[in-house]
Amino acid sequence: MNHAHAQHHGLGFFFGILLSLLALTGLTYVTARVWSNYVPDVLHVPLALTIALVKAGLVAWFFMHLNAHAPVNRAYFVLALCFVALMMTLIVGDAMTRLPTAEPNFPGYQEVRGAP
Amino acid sequence: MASNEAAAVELTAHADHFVDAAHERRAAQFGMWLFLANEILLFGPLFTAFALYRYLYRDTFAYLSAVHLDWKLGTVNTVVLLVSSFTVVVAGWAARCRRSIWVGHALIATIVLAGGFLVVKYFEYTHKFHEGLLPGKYFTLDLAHDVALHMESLREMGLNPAQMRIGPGASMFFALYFLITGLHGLHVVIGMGVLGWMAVRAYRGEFAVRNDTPVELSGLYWHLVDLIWIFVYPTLYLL
Amino acid sequence: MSPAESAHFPRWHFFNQTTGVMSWLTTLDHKRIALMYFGAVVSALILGGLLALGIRLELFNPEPSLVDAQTYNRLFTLHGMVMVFLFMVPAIPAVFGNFFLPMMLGAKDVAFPRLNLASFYIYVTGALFTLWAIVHGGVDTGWTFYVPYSTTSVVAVAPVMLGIFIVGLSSILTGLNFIVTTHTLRAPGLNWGRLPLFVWNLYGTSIISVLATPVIGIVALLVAAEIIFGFGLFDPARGGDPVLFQHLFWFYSHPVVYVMVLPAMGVVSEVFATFCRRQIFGYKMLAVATLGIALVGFFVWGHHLFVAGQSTFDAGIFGVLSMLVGVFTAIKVFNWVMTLYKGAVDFTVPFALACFFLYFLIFGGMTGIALAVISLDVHWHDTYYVVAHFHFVMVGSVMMAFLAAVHYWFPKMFGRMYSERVALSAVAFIFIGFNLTFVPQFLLGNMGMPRRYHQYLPMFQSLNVASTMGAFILGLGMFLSLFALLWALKWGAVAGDNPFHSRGYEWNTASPPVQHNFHTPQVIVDGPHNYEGPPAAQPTAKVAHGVE
Repeated sequence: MNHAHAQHHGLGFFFGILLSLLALTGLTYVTARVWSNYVPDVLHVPLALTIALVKAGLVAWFFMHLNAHAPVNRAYFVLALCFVALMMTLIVGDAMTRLPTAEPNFPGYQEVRGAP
Repeated sequence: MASNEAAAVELTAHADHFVDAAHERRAAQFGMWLFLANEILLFGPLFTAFALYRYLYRDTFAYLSAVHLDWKLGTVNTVVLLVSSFTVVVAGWAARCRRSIWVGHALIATIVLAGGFLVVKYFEYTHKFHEGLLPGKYFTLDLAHDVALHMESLREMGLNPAQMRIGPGASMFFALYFLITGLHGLHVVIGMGVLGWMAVRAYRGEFAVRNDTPVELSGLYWHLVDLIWIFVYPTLYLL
Repeated sequence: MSPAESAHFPRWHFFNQTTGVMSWLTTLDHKRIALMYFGAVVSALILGGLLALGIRLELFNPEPSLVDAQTYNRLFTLHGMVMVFLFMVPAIPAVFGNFFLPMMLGAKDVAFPRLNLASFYIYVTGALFTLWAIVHGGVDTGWTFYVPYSTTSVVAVAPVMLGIFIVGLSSILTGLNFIVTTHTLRAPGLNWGRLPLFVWNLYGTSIISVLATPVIGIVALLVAAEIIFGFGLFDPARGGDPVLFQHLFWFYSHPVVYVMVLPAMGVVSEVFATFCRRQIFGYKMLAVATLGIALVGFFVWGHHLFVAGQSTFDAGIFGVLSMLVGVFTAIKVFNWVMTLYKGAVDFTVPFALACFFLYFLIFGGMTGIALAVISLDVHWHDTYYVVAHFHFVMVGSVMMAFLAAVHYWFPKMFGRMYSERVALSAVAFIFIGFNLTFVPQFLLGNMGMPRRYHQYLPMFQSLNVASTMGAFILGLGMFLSLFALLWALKWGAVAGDNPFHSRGYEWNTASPPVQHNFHTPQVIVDGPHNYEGPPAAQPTAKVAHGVE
């Protein structure tokens, strides 16, 4: 499978992938810092994450040959990402629904802030 | 060409409990992917902690990221790692074509790029040490004074410090910064070691007569290092 | 069961095909690695068990008697860490999984034999280092090493964290090896629908090992970093959130309960099939429920945080999700019971232990369901009710399954039979002692006796005395069992290839097996434990004679 794959994609193809990765890096910078006023606040994080996911997908799919590897390799890669997402959702979700801690009088707030 | 016959034997060599070399290769690839899945969950808690504290101390994190992390260095490092990922792909490609010397060249290029990454990191770290931007009890920055200093550049970025709640969680930002980049940096160093070993083997000409699985697997590891940085870059430097 | 009359001990087997200490220490044979693990985990079990007896002795009286408070804290910390990290987690997978997974797949070895050996040495290194660190540092945090106590305690907790990280690495490598082996080394004809249920359960276990263990690894490192560098990640004074620690800790430590229980369920499935002379009722559902438990185990960690300051929203979600584990477990229990129905039951020691397993699993599981109800948990949290619950599940069911596995596979591993009568009496002691130890603890917990104190109110004494007596009966049974097995190792009757007439794939070779497991390449034509029709021809015996 790998050999067939190597014949299909020469180095030029991989170089193209590299260029698109660099372009996406530029895009994520520009949307976060240069055009940040044109991007609604709530979209900053989802946008940056989406671009990062696309970049990660390109690296995994082409550079790491996930397109040519056994389906089970893909399954475990995705499963690991899902578990991280699960962990993040329920832990951050806990903080989001635990209202008092998000307030300025959260224990330790004053100590950290120091003298105003 | 007697060496051709020897090469053919080497190429089909495999451990006794596998049917053939391709079988062994599939198992090795799968094992490596499982290891990478495990690595993802090693970093997962750090990103989760970052997400949690960024939620709790959003303004502080935004301020520190904008003012005290140098996006230029972050971007340079992103580019360096992406290019190094490409050179590893070149190494894998050369190994499939049995051009062992070229495998070595590509890997050396990768290691040089990785070294560049670490040099940039070194400058970032020393800069933070000087400014007292350290985690926990070593955090010595006077934030109120600092905000006053950076009023101008904040305005330029479209941030209004008067409306921001800057203060709590400041040391937490740097705790996470050092933990995430530190663990990632450790992986970079390990990756350099692995790739260096592969480069030595490549210059000995091993991959002209042996199957390229070791190169592919160490390449996978290096790509994961890149993959993690792809997420580190926006979360730490941009958001 | 008496071995066949014609039973003979094979001339060549994996014990004597190579000899010398180095042939063991550097072996790549999964069977030898399994046996080295066997020695290691049994040592851990004995150590943890003796510590438990020490704890129970102290609790014989309401007043401090044997040890002071500090020593008591160290005792239960050492007991917990040894039992959880050094015994329970590796016990069944690393010993019986290593030994029988390749044999059940018809393979010569696991996919990565060198990694397998490395994992053993990593385990030994980590275990010794952890033990040294706990004893030397006098660590008294309990096995859960909750912050902020563990990060502010004056004792040296950081080295223990490193030790746990190392032990975790070993279980990751074992899990990785098992998953790859199951995918790539199945014999021709052995499709997923024909996999023995023990393999299914090991597979579920391995998923958890690979995907959850790194989380405890990084948490341990974070705690160590917190202690050494004062990062303040979990320190409220610096804006940290201690509940984050508990989240991350239980993200690993709840699924790891299934690392212990799933292989136990696999053992019991094999034992029931063999001694009821039929394939497990509802094989497919049992396989699905296995993966279901492995997956759902990741969704329920928050039920350990009901009183920790977790939001009610999260608590509600976790409370409901926790019930799902009960659903999958119930599927399994019903299927085992249905297997017994109209099965041709052969009442042997492994079978008795499997029945005890069922009993402990049902009671331990049901009390777990009760604990996952938020309002009840508020009452029971940190009382002896919780202690009794997880000992019912871990010690009760897992230990029964471990012993069932030891007895069921003893003839296969060593080629000799244990004494049925002695083993049965030992097991009876264990069962009675276990109940006497932990049933009173349910009552004590419900009355409000908190865990982890070395003294208690005089009103609790009678039940505590019962519990201590039970613990010693349990200990007596365990030692009796150990000596019976050690005796059988040398003087037991020769077992023959298949003394239980099992039709599991692993029996399809000589006992003990040869170095590469089978004399001929295996081709699987039927599911495991198909007891209909005449037994499949076993070419192995003939070849074995040929070798001789």
